[in-house]
Amino acid sequence: MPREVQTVRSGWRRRAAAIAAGVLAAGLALLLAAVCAAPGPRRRAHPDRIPVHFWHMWTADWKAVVERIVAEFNASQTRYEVIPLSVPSASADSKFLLAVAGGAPPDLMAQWNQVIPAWADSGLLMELDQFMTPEEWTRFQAEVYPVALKIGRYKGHLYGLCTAVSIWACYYRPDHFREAGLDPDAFPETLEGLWAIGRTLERRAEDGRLVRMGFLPQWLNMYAPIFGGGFWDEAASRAVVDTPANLRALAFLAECRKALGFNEVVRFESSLNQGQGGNVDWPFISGRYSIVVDGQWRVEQLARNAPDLEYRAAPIPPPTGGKRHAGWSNGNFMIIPKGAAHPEGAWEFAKFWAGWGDPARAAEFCTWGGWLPLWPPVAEAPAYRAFLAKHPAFGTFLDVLPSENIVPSPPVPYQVFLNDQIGRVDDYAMRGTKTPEAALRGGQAELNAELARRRRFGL
Amino acid sequence: MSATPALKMPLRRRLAIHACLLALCVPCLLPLGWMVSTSLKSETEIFPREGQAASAFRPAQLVPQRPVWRNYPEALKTVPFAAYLRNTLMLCAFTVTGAVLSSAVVAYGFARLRFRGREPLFALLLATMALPGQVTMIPTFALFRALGWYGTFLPLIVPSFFGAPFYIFLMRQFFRTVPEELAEAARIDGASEWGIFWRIFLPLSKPALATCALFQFFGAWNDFFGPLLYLNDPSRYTLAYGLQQFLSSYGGKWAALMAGATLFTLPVIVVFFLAQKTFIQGIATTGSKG
Repeated sequence: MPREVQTVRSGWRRRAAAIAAGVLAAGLALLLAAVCAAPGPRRRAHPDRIPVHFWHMWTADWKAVVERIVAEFNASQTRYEVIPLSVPSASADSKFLLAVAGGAPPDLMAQWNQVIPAWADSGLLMELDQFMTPEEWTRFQAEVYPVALKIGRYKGHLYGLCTAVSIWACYYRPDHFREAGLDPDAFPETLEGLWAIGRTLERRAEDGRLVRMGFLPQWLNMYAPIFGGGFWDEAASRAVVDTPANLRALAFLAECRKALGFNEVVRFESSLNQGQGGNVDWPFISGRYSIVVDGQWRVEQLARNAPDLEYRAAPIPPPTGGKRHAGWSNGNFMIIPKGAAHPEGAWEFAKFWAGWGDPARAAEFCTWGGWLPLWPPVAEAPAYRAFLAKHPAFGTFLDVLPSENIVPSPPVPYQVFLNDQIGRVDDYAMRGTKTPEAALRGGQAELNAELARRRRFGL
Repeated sequence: MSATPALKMPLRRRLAIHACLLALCVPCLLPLGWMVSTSLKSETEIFPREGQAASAFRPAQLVPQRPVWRNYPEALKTVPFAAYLRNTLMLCAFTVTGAVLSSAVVAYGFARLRFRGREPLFALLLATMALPGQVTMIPTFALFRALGWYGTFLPLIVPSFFGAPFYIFLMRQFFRTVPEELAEAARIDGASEWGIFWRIFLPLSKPALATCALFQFFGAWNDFFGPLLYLNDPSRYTLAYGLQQFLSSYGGKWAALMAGATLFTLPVIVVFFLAQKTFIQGIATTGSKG
């Protein structure tokens, strides 16, 4: 190669090396700046107190509320220091299970996943009624809202202390009602009536695509109790799938879906942002739904994110012959794992949050998070009444809360399997790939096979 | 000096080949492009509003109408990015150093030293690669807890100093390609076994070492489960863990979320491009592919 070419090439290489070194130096400088700007490890505020490690799954605005409640507890006494840790909800159960198995569990965990039957059955959780006197336990069972007790109880013992209950109801847009020539003050009394109104409120583009959903009844878990069904046979103490009432519910949901067009609904729903975290893109706020079934936490979010939006809330109306104020429910509850280093401190904090002995303070907490309380004294406290006056829509959910027709998932250790089967049954019928009869029959057969398998293994 | 075969090709043919390759790249790059594009859009541009039906995807949608740069500061403000970056880089630095050095030493032993049971031991080592992580998770966790390392960085760093089976395998294959005569010549000159490893084999193995370093860097950078299991102090979280936290917290804020994801991905892309040549050379010479 000619010497001049070699000289040019080596010059180019030197320049490239200089540029690379420059980029590297800049990167290192950035790294150094990042390292200098980063805060150090967290220090305990009260090192002289007994630490109570508390894991929860709240994030964003709710995390701030949790930390505020923790700060209130830490300021209210001098024996314990609750140390909160927010764990990503998608992996919280794995972290918890491994920590328990590895002998380093937290003292307390706030949960909303349906874990109590499975974890209690596996001996991972402490019975919380052991922290109460017999009189306290009796009074507790009599005073709390029925659904809160059902959520936390398994085989006669309390494993989860509810701090808040979730109730679902209809949110609707009066402006859409007026636009369609309907009276927003006359919300339908029956589910059939609600469905008919939903069709009136529906809007489609010229090519037939849905641009606004009037009302879409969906989710068998929610509607089965409304039709008088459900997945738990109290008398026989066993889970069921294929019952006449469940068939009525599934057939209704499938008929609605068919009338709207199976593919049309999928296409419409896939175009929506689900509004996680309460942002302004919840389809109800953006007007993509006229009537939608959702939880009570939306009231507070609506006040924050869409203060000028006119909306109302009403209980899901029952179908003809169905049950009033019915549906599925879940809640936030506290569990204490076996092997917890300081279960007494954990129990003290759980009681503090739930309003045991001081409902007025718990009422404050409920207003901070937009939560429904564990028992009536909290709901009757002045702070909660003031909250209701400020957010009248919340009253709808509170009205539904005492109903015996609100049920959680069946208290069986194979709850995950059961919910999976219910989901599949629902999915088959909603996609039109199976008739509701065949879907439920298949789900029941799968459940029977699983129960037989569990019997074989002595579970 | 003769031109390379690629340069000998007619220009038209070269252009056609490049066009085909670019077309094949599009499906791979589309998600990345969507991520960057979404990170520069406003929330209203990402999702249609009332009265607007969702339209089919058009490539033009990838270009933001008006780039919203503030999504980036918002993403940085939402999570303590600096602390997460510091922790991640610290973990990367330690685990890369540990994994590469320890694996190289072990690999040299398997490649060059003759001892009884070498082959069965190597087979046993390879067999550990087939063990799912879930099987060893609980005993490992219990061990680290017993050592008092729970809640510290040590369970994430120390194991990398005990060799990684895949890297050992990779480097052993590379060391076997180095001519024995080089080692013999060094021995005649009085070099010890350690000297041969350090002065002859390691300098010759830069591509293999760089490949292992890159794999380890990507692994440590993306590791979510390790920090989830062993860390309990938010100030010690890593970027992968922080991004998951961001997803849980602000799953609806797609623009900020994608800005965070872009910031998370960018260093990996930069590192890969900087080390691309060595990486490919290393893969080619060890006969492995990912």
